[in-house]
Amino acid sequence: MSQPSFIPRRITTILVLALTSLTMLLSGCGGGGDPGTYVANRARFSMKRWMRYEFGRSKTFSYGESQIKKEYKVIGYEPSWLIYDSLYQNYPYELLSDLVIGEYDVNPENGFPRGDSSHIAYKKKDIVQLASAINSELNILLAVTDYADYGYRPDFYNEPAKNNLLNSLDQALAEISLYMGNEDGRENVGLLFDFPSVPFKLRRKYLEFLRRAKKNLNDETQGKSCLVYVVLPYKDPYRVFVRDSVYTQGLRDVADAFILRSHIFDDQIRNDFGEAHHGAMIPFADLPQVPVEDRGVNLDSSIIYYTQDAKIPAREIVVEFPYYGRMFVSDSTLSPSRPMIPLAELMNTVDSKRKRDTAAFCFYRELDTMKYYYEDTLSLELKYSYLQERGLGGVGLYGLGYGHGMDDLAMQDGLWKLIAEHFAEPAPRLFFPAVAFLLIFIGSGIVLSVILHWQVRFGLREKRRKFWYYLSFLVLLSVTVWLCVEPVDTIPVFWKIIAIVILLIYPLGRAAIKLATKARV
Amino acid sequence: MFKKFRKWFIEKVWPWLKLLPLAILIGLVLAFVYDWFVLGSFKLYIYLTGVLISIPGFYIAYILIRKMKSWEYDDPRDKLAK
Repeated sequence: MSQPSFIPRRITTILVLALTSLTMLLSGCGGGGDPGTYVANRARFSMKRWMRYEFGRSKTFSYGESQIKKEYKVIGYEPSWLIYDSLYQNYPYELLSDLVIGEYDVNPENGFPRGDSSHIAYKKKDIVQLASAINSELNILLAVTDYADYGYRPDFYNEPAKNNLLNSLDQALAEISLYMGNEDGRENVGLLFDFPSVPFKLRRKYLEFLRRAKKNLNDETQGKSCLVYVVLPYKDPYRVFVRDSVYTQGLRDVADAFILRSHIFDDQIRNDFGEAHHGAMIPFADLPQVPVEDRGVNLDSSIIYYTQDAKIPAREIVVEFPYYGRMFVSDSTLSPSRPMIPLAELMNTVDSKRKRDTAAFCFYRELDTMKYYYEDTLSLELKYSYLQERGLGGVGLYGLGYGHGMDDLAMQDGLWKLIAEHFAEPAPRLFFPAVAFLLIFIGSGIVLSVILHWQVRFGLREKRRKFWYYLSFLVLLSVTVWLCVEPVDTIPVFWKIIAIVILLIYPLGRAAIKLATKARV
Repeated sequence: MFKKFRKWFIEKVWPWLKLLPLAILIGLVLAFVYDWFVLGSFKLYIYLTGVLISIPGFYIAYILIRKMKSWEYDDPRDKLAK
């Protein structure tokens, strides 16, 4: 027979387990990775951030479900080649109101897509399923472009081409809607029409085509709906939008939103703004080098032109910014350039200090004779604030994948933090409403005890002082509840805490008076 | 051993435990009311917070109702007994 142990075996096992768990949490006791410390630090950090937000010390805090405000649009544009790179897995889709997935590059001869992959990227990859699962209110759009016909255009599509195009788009939208899980009807899908160079003489035909597209693709009887977004030219030298008000009004009737690009994909920017202008971004202000006839073409003047001269409501205009950079070689007569450099590549590999580009209010980094132009969090902060002051409808982000995968987390997270701060619904502050919620239970307990028990009613009737005490306590409690429920911006945290402290001291005060009375007797 | 535990559970724990669904229900209803009138966002964490607060809140109210009786009413029989 074995000797009975001083401590029972079960308790020994529990103690050993508890001590092992404790060593995980204590700093310095863990192994190489020290996951316990990591988890504890993260928890402490999150708690600190949450409390800072609850007490009004920081502006934003996400419970993981932030959402874009109803009055704004944040349109993420993911070109097809980035979808094929599968970079879309970790985007914060809750911070987008619309997502453009790939482009249908129209062959003007027959209306069918020119390539065989760009318009079906959403079929090959699960971007639609993933994005709509994370954000159920997300609108998913397909871009319709014909960039290959930039410049000369004898006519705006023949009849068979229009029919083929509209049928193909109808089918594509139905598929996207199905991928989104819309089984009852086609909703939250749309098209972004990006026709950069519709000549002046063809504008009415373009408008007719848009009207037809809107009419054909929206059919309430069949449960079909389709959003229509239209890209505006960044400059309008002939002032078509002012001279032809019927055209402008027609576009307004058709379009649910207008996109104004603050960047240009190709070298057109140098033709328009002179050799000295290198970045992909349209200037904010005039440069002395700009030819006189092009003066006044900049982002600010374009916005004023469209909103004030052309009378397009500011709320319907969304300005698109690039998540890519552009490189120019400054000492070559040929001025070679490299467009669309991912921000990730630029930030991770070009190791030099940033410099400010005064014309476009963006930044560049210099490496030997190469200059890399890009938008960073500081320039975007400025531009987002400017757009909000102008009362515009939101922002577009071109090439979400280009702004993904940066080593510099301040920049990587900063791009989305900016969106959250400017355009997203702030998370509700829950600490003080929770306190109010708890106080309501206490108040209910007092009231219910009076209703349910005759003994309490009898006691209060016998001793009037007690009755007045409970009544005043309930009044004080109601005031505290009201102060706690009101937002931090209306009632400062200081007054909320004061009210809670007074409420807690109140019963103690009563006890003190009681003791003092007894002592006197 | 099990019988002892069962007896203890039925006598001590069950009377409190059976109130838990009611506490959760009240939390859900109040979270819905708050969401409907104040936030209008219908987020999961609002309901989670509502339930998490209503559980202790409900028991505090329940205990308070019972305690008020003993605090505010001195039974004459107790006085006589003394």
